[in-house]
Amino acid sequence: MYELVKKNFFNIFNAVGEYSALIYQTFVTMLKKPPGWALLRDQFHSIGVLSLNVVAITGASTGIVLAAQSFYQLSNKGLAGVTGIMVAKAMITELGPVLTALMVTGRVGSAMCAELGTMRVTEQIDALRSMAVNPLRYLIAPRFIASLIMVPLLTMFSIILGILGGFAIAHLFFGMSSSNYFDPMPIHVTSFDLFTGIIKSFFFGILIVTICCYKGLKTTGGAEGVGKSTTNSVVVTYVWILISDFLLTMMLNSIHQEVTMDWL
Amino acid sequence: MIKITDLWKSYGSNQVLKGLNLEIQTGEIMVILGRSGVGKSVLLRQIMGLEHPDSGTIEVNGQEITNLAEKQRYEVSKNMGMLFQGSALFDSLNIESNVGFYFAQNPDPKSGKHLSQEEITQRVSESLQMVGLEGVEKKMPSDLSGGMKKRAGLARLIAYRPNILLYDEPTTGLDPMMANQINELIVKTQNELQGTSIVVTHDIHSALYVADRIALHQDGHIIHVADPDDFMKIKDPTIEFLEEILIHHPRVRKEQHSGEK
Repeated sequence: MYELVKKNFFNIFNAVGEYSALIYQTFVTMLKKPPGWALLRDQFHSIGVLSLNVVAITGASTGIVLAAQSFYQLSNKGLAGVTGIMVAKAMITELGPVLTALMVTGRVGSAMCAELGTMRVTEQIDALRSMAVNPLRYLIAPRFIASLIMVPLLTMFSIILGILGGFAIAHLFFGMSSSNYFDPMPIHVTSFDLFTGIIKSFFFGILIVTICCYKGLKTTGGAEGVGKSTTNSVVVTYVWILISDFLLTMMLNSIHQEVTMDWL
Repeated sequence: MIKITDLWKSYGSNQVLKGLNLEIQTGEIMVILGRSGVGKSVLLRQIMGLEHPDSGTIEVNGQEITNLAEKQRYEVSKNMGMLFQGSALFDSLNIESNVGFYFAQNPDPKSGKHLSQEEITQRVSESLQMVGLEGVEKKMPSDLSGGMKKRAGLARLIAYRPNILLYDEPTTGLDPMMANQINELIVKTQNELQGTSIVVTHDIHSALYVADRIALHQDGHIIHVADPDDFMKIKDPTIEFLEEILIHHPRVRKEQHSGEK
C-alpha cells in the first residue's frame, strides 16, 4: 500500500513538473522566436473557424433553455421581467465560458492530443528534431497562441448567441418585448461580469491547449496509446475546467469585493 | 569520425546500453547488427541526440555532443540526418513539402542562406529522382506503399546533404526486392554524398550488402567489429545469435551444402 501511494505520488509530482516545464518552455520559445504566420493561420482556422458551428449551437440552445426555464420559474412570482438579466448574467459569467471551453476541448483538444500522440508514436516528432526543428515552436506555440485568442472570441460569440437565443424564445413564446428583455441589462450586467467571463475564457484556453498537448506529447504504446491519451486528455481537461471555474469565481469575486470595499 | 565511449543508457530498471564503445571512421558505412530489442535503435537515438545517455560520451569530429544545450545540439543536427524505421513522413504534408521540409524551416547548411521556393522545388526534384520517385510530389504519405515511404524518407534525408546519415532498420517490413532497392540506395547515397553512414539492422543480407564494417551488438556491448568477409568467418560460441543469423545467409548455406556433399 505504501509503495502504491509512493509510486502514485511520484507520478503525479513528475507529471506536474513536466507540465509546468512544457508551459515555461513554450513561453520561452515563443518569446525567442514566434511561430510563422502560416502555422498560426492553420491553427486559427482549426481552433476558431471550425469550432463556430458547435459553439453556436451550444450557446444558442443554452440561452433558449435558460430563458424558458427562467420565465416559467419567475413568471408566477411576478418576476418575468428579469429573464433577460438572468440569461445575460449566467451566459456571461458562467455558461458561456464553461460550455464553450467544454465544447472546444471535445472538438479541438481531443484532435490536438490525437494528432500529437500519433506524431509521437510514429516518430514524426523525432523527425522534426532530427531536422533541427524545435517541436515546441513548430507544433505547440501556434496552438497555444491560437487557443489564447480564439477561445475568448468563441466565448463572446457563444454569449451573444445565447442572449439572442433567449430573446427569441422570450419574444416568440412568451410575448416579451425587446425593451423588457434588453433594457435592464446595462444596469445589472456590470463590466466586472464581462471581465470575469473573459478572464475565465483566457484561462480555459490555456488549460485546453496545454493539457491536450502535454498528453499528446507523452503518448506511448501505438494506436491504443493514442486512444487512451485522447480520452484521458479530454477527461482531465474537463475536470480542470470545472475546478478552475470554481476557483476563479471565488478568487475574482473576492478581489472584486475587496476593491469595492476600498472604494467605499 | 564518431567516437562512442563507455555509453550507458537505461529505461527504469532495464539497462539497455552497458558501457558501449565504438569508433566509426569518416566516409565508411558502419552496420550495427544485433537481435531485435538489444538496443541498436537506442544507440542511434543517442548519436542523433534524440535522447541523452545516462553516462558516457559521443564525439563527432572531436566535438563532444552528449551534453550540448538544445540550441548547440540543433547546430550539430544540421550535419546529421536520420531515416526512421517507419519513415516518419509528416502525415499532414504532401511528399514535396515533406522532402523540402528542412529548407522550409532552416537555411541551407552549406551556404547558410534560406533557399528560394524555386531552389527548394529543384532540390526536391533532384532528391526524388535520386531515389526513383519522380511524379509523387503532390501525393500524401498515406497514398504511398511501405517501400515508397522509405524512399521518400530517404529523399527527405538526402535533400539537405547531411555529412552523417543514420538509418534505423531501413529494410524492416519490406519485401526482398524492395529491401534490395533500399540497400542499393544506401550505397548510392553514400557514394554521392561521401559522408559517414550508420545503419542499424537485424537483416544479415542488408548488413553484408551495404557494410564497410559490421559491429555486432549484444547485451549492451559491441562485441565484434569486422569487415563483411571477416565477419562471415567469426566463430564464437559466446555469441548467442551469430550462427542463427548466418545460417540463413545464402553464402553460408551454400558452403554448408557443399560440405555435406
